[in-house]
Formats: sequence, structure tokens, C-alpha cells
Amino acid sequence: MESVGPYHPVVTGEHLDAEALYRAHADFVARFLLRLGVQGQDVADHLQEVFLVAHRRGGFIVGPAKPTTWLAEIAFRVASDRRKKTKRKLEDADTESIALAAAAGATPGDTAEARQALDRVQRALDALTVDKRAVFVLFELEGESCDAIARVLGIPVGTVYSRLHAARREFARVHQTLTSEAALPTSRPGKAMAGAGA
Amino acid sequence: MTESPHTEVEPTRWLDEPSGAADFGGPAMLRDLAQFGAAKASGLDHAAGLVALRGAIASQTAAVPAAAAATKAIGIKTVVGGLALGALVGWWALQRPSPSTPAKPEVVAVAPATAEHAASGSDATAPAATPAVGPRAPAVVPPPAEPEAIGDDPVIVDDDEADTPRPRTAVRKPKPDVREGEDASADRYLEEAQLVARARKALSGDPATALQLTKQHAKEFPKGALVEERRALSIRALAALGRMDEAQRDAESFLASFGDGPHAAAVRRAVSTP
Repeated sequence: MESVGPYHPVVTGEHLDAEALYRAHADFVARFLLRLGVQGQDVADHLQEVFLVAHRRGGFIVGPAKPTTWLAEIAFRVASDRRKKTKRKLEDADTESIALAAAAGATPGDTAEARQALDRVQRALDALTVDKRAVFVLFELEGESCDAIARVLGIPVGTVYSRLHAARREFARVHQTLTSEAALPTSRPGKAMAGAGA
Repeated sequence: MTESPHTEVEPTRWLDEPSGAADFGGPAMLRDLAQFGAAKASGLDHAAGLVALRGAIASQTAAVPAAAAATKAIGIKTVVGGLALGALVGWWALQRPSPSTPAKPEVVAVAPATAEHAASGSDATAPAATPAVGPRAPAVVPPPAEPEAIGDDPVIVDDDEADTPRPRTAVRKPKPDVREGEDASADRYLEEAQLVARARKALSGDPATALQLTKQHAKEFPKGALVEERRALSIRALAALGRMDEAQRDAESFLASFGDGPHAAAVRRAVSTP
């Protein structure tokens, strides 16, 4: 991490409070939540919860570990936990939906194809259990090492390997099925964290 | 944990080494995955989110005195190092000049930055001091910035946890007063956030309504937490309605105050449109 947003650079040992973390990493956390299967209309609320927990933990000290890894762990916990809870009233403050947006294509056709690609991947991810999905997303998309993932999830690194292998296999299988379908629906399945708890 | 751990070398990311994906799927899968990996989250309102976070933190900090935090912390059943911290809190409580005086969280002798590694089971509702005595707090605090393994306990702890037994040495704060203060503050903030959210949503399809809502906000929340965003929305609504003179005039004033803010770019775009 080179900076916490446009406001100031960071140095090793510096303490980053929740606001600084938000400015620098809100996009990352929002994207991570979406990748975990949190529905768009719930992302804003989950996002706030993540940074509130970051605040309650006292913020982050810049060091060898990445703040995004630290935030990903919190986001994973929040996303997993919020599935089980009733919605809080603060969610009503901003009900706009947040979604993954493909990079702008050169033509409308490119954009449409990109959206279909996002849809296929998201649906394949949704088919995984939340534990496997977290490993797959952290490793394949967020670029975390297996050791870091093991620390984030509190599991042995060998379990990370086995979950990743299983997740890869299942992801590829579902993706293949979706690719083979003649017509793909453009919307995602209606349930968040589809495989949670399985 | 149903998976059987096994050892192997660190795998390589599919997107870094596509050949590693050959046993699983073809190029089409990797293209899709790359597309997905490059996608950004859109629709995130940074300003509103940051202000909401700020409001939530301020609400907690103002409404929950350190005494309540300390009692909540001690009330948690499994305490690692609880005796030592309990004695510390007891000493601290005895030093307080008046039990009814709200204390600042910073008084508690646990530095915020050192509390970050406490377990999630305790970090959800208590301010910075609480995590060190959380139910799953590690016996040895790991080095900074290392995420900690956390079990299945919920991250979010309900406020009811404050009802756990409290030690004699702790200072009591009547819970109903705290809750009422929190609720009133949160409700007021919620009203403001909802109003701005309505204006924001109306902007693209119905700028006249958006403008009206920003005026309503200015009247009801002249010193609200979302003034910056409201002013930006107002300017954008004026521009969308073709009232460019007014938009330009307001934009000049807005950018003088918030030229580096998160809404500045949108305002500049709005008034630069031919």
C-alpha cells in the first residue's frame, strides 16, 4: 500500500484509523463483499459494519501484513455473520445497489459480453460453499498467499490447499455448465451467500 | 473441518499461470475470470459511506462512556488476563471523581492500536478498550497487522451483552439513558441520510425533485453531516435542469470549500458540460 487515498502517504508503524482505512480501501472491501456473494443492496451496510469493526479493533498498524488482508478477514466475518441476523434499520439509510461493473468495452457488444462473463463467474462462485468461495476469491482474485489465507480464516494451510482444490474443481464445473447454456439469464440468483454453512 | 489437510507446494494463481488451469477448465473460463477480476465495485457512494461511518463512530464514542465499556468488557465470561485488567479497571474506577461523569474512551489503559488483534467475539460493540478482554482473545497478542484466526462466533455482538454481570468496582451508567442517547442520535442521522439518499436517487431521472429535496435538506439540516454532498447534488440538479448560471455560481462557492472533496469531480463535470 502506498497511500491511504489522496490524503497522505503511509509509513511503516503508522496507525491507520477506520476513516483512513475507509478512504483507502472502501472499494476493495465493497468488491470483496460482492465477490463473496453479498447482494448489492446490502453492500453499503456490510461495508459500514466492516469499518466499524476495524474501528473497534483499534485500527491498523502499517507493517509487513497488508491492510486489505486484515480487512478481508473482517469482511468475511461480517458477511458470514450478517446472513444470520435480521436487518438493522440503518440499512434503510441508503438502499442503492452496489454492483461489480466490467471495465468499459469498446463497443456495446463488448460491454454486454463482459457483463455475461461477470454473471457466469459470479454464479459459479455462488455455487461454492462460503468457506470454499472465500479461499477461491482470496487466492485467485485477491492474490493472497495460502499462508495468509490460513491466518485470515483460522485454518491450517493444508486445509486451504484442499479447499482451494475443491473450489477450483467445482468452480470450473459450474462455469462449464453455464458456458454451455444457450441463453444465460442476466441476473444473479436471488440468494446471497448461497452455499453458506454447507 | 471436514477437509483432510494435506501438504503440497503453494499453488500458482490461474491468472498468473494459465497452464495451471488446464486440468480444470479452458481459456474461456480464464477469460471470464480475468474479466471478473478486473471489475470494480460501482455505485459506491464514498462520501455518504464515510460520513455514515463517521457518524456511527461518533455516536458510539459519545454515547457509551468508558465506564460502560469497562463494565461490558469485564462482563464477558472468558477473560484472558482478566485479573490484571480487572484490577486496572478497578483502580481506574476508583480514581474517577464522580461516577456520573462520562469518561472519554481514551482513559482506558489499552492503546487502540494494540487492541486490534482481539477476537471478533468481543470487538463488535465495545470501543477500543474491550477487545483485549474478549472471550476469544489470544493468550499472547500477535504482532501488529497480523490477522487472527477467529472461530464461528459472530462478529457482531448484540448490545444485550452489556447486561452481563458487572463487578463491584466498575462504575455504572444507567443503560436506558445510554440507549436513548444513541437512538436519538442515530435516528436523526438516519433521517438526514435518507433524505440525501432520496435526492441522490432522484438526480438522474428527476432532477427537479432532486433539487427540491436538497432544498428540504438545507432547511431541515442546515448544519447536517451531509451538507457537502447535498450542495453537490444541488449543483448537479441545477445543471441537469439547464440552470447553468446558478449551477456555475454555486459550483464556484462549493469548489472553494470542497475542491479536494469526493464530490468535486462530479461538480466540475456537471458545470463544464456544454
